[in-house]
Amino acid sequence: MNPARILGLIAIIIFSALMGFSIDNFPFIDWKKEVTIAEVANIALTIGLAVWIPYAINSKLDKHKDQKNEVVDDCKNTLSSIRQIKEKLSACYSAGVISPLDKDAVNLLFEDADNKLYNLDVYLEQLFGSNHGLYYNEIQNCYNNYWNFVTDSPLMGSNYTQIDLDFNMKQIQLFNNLEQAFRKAIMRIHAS
Amino acid sequence: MEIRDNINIAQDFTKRPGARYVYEGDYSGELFLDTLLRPKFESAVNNQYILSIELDGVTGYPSSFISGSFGVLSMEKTAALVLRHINFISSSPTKIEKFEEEIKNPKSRPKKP
Repeated sequence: MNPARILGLIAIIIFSALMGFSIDNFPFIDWKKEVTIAEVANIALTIGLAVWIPYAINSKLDKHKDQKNEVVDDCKNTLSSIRQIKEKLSACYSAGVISPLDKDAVNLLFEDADNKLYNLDVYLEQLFGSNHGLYYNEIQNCYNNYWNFVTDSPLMGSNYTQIDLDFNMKQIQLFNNLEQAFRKAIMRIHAS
Repeated sequence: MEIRDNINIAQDFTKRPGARYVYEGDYSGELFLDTLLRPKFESAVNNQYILSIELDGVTGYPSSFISGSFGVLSMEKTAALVLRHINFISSSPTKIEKFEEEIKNPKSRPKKP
């Protein structure tokens, strides 16, 4: 043990002895030396509650906040996946050609998006219970509109090999509607 | 009613479902309806059993394919009858919802040759 620590311990012992002596001989207060078990329990309970209640509330709030952040991250990831479809179609429009492999890629991206949306709905239900539709329904409707338009004829027809301007503009507009629905849901989740 | 027949779309038809009508290209919904779905469905109705349809294993289902097959079948036979005699199997509940939604609310499209 180093000398500084030994001096510190001596100082604490002297200070404690002085405190004990002062309290025992305090001139204005007559200390009542007898305490009952109920009084001790009462004080312990009061201190315990004072410590536990803020801790429990903060812990619950933090947990809920973590869950909301996770769902918001899921929203962003799902939107990123669907954005790949929009970008793929825009690239095909710019290239002036869409091949059968490009169409396969679009269908596979929709498959992936289907699964991500399902998982998102499950998480929202876990977080908001029967109110999950408030956050999910608009996303689902906009997604269905986008999927219905993009994978309808004429794009999926074998003879359709070039994306025209009208198709590209419409798919971008429907994607933007979907993006807005995601943003609204994220704002609602944060505000809940 | 018990399941007595099945269609695995990836194995029995294609892994790349196409557009709505035959004239639009390969593996259309119309071709699937005419060659597989309608005959098996009618047999299921006549003999009072359920036709199971396995949806997994394909690159994805275009809305045109679903509409040209199950949507048309629903308009011909009614949604209630189709849903009573068809059971969809998939690892993705969202995929099943798309098929059931089309059967409940079939989108009719003009056939332009």
